[in-house]
This record gives sequence, C-alpha cells and structure tokens, in this order.
Amino acid sequence: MSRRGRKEQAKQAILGELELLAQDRHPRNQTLMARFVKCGDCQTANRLLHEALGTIGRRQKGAPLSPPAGWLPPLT
Amino acid sequence: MPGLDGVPLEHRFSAGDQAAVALARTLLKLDVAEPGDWAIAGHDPTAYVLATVDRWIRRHGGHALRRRFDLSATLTGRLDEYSERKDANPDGSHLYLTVDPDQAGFVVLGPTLELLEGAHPRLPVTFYALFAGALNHWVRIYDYRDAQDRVSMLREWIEGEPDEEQYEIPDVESCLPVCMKQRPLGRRRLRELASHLKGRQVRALMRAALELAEISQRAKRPQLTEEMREELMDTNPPLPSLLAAFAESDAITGCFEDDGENMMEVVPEPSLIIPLNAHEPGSVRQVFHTFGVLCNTLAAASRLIDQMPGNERWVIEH
Repeated sequence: MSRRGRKEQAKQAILGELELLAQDRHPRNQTLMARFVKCGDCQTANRLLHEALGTIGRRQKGAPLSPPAGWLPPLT
Repeated sequence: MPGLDGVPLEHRFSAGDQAAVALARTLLKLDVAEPGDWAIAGHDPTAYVLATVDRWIRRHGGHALRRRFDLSATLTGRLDEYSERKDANPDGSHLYLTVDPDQAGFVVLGPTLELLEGAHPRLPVTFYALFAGALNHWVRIYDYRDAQDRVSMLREWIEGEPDEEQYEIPDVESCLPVCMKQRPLGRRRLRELASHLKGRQVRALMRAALELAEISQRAKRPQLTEEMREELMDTNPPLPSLLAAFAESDAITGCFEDDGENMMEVVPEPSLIIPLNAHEPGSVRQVFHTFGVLCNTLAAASRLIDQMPGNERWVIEH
C-alpha cells in the first residue's frame, strides 16, 4: 500500500475512534472504572457504603443484634 | 511496579471532552492534524489537539520565535478564567484560541537606528515604523509611546501639588533619538531606495523589516465581538510581549518596570483572541491560518532582532 494509502487508512481509523468517543461508545469508556467515574450515583452509593463500614468498625465493641426470625443471617 | 494478575495498572477514559473530540475530528479531516500523533497522544483527543497545535507552531517558525518571545497558546471555552459560567465550552461550537506572553522579550534599538541613519536620515524611523507596526498588529509592544503615556499620567497626578518639584519624572523625551522625529518613508519610496543603500548590513536589515511587515499583513487580526468585550469587561490591557528600548537601561525600561508593578493587579486581556467553532471546517481552517501568520510574524521578528546590532544577549532560555 502506498504511503498516502496508509495515511488515509490511519486517518479513517482515528475518525472511527473519535466517532465512538463522541457517542460515548468507545471501549475505553465502557470499563467498570470508567462507568464508576462517570456515574455520580455510584460514587454516592460507594461513599455511603464506605461511611457505613467505618461506623460498623467504630461500634465493633457493641453486641450484634440477632436478625428477626425467618431472616437470613448477614453474609460477610 | 507490582501488580495483580489481570488488574490493569492504568485506567484511561474520556468524558466531558466533546469539544476536543469535535476539534480533533475537524483538524484531522482538514489534514492539519497528523495521524501519527494519535498514538503519541495516547488516543486522547485533548492531547491530540495540543500535539497538533504544537506541530503547527513548529511548522510556522516555532524554533525562531522562541528565541525572542515567550508566549503561551490556549484553547478555551471562556475568556475570563474566573467567570462563573458553568456552561462554557459544552460542545466546542464556541471556543477561543488565545495567546498570552509569559514574559516580555527585550530589544535594544539604539545601535540599529544609528547604523541606519548613516545610510539615510529617514531610514531609522521607517525601520521602526515597519518593525513596531508589524508586531503591534498581533501582540503588544511596550515602547517609547507607552513611556510617554506614563509620564503624561504622572504629570497629571502631581499637577497642582504643593511639592510638585520634588517628584522625579522619567526623562523619556531625552532618550528618544533625534532621527525618530523624522517622517517615515513610504513603502514605494523605500523599495526604490533599498537597492541603492550603502552597506550590506543596512540592506539586510531593511529587507528583513520589509519582509516582516509583509508577513504580518497576510491575515487580518480578528476583531472583538460585543460578547467578547462583555467577557473582558473587568480585565487589564494585554501584557506586553516585547519591550523595545533605545538603550539597555534608559527611561523606557524604567517606565516599563514601574508600569509592570500594576499590570497583574487585575487579570490581563489575552494578546490575541481568535474565536472558533470546532464543528465548522471553514472556521477551524481560518483560525489555524491566522495563528500561523502570527507565528510566522513573530519568527520573522525574532530573526530580524538576531540581525540587529547590540542584541546578541536577551535570547530567551526555555
């Protein structure tokens, strides 16, 4: 393939990637981490969970309550 | 670096950069951007646009212009960085390419004017008009006219004060060479005269000054729109990109230092603002042409300063 042909092919490949980025369909943006960074609700849920775990840690000395009858025991 | 099997060490993603995506796409379609830079930019549209701007500067005399000027180019969605507008730059249809100096370069004109005066009495002022006119078309030069303005302002302030004589006013008028009071030659007369001028250095200087003036006119400076003026309402004048004095430590450099103390009190206006729409190839092409002319003008000025006697120093270290 000529130099010009290779350049044109590379150009089209980049335009394709840019199109995916424009539509937010680029594989790079579909990873778990990328979805997490973009999702405000996920981040809020994570913060709440983190705070809840911290609170549990601080109250470890307290006696755990038994689950109501018929409930599954908590899993860790 | 230690790592866990199957867990990537780096995560990259792009979000909220629709403006960069649009501009990268347009630059690539126009063949302004190089496909080879995409991998270097790590497939990141913002880094790709910046690499393209950098390449454009290099293609338009970047190496020469960096010797005498220290400027930054910025792509931005807002002119006032402290603006509270959150919606600036959402999709790239309303961007600006701005140019600001990081520090002012320095040129000493005295020895050059003296040399030119030996060839023709009106040559020094003609040279100065070409040099300053070409640069002032694009960036701000601080020269004897700014120093004269400062002196007028100081005189107004102290007028009527009981101890008026106690104030020390810089003597700008006495540092202005007499030859600068002449009338500049017209372009046609200068061209007629140029080939008959005595002295190779004189001819080279005038040829370079004419070339500089010609390059600077290859594009029109974009005018500020009403909207841009509104955004710049609370800014100071642009910072000077070059200090032009007649001697190393004359009254002009003194005035520059005094004026410099207040230049950053309020955010200064950029030296050049070029509005662009990243989605319109015509707009992007025009912007890059204008930006190229600015770079070529500064590069030509840099090369001219290199030729001017007494300016062997003042090369900017990057």
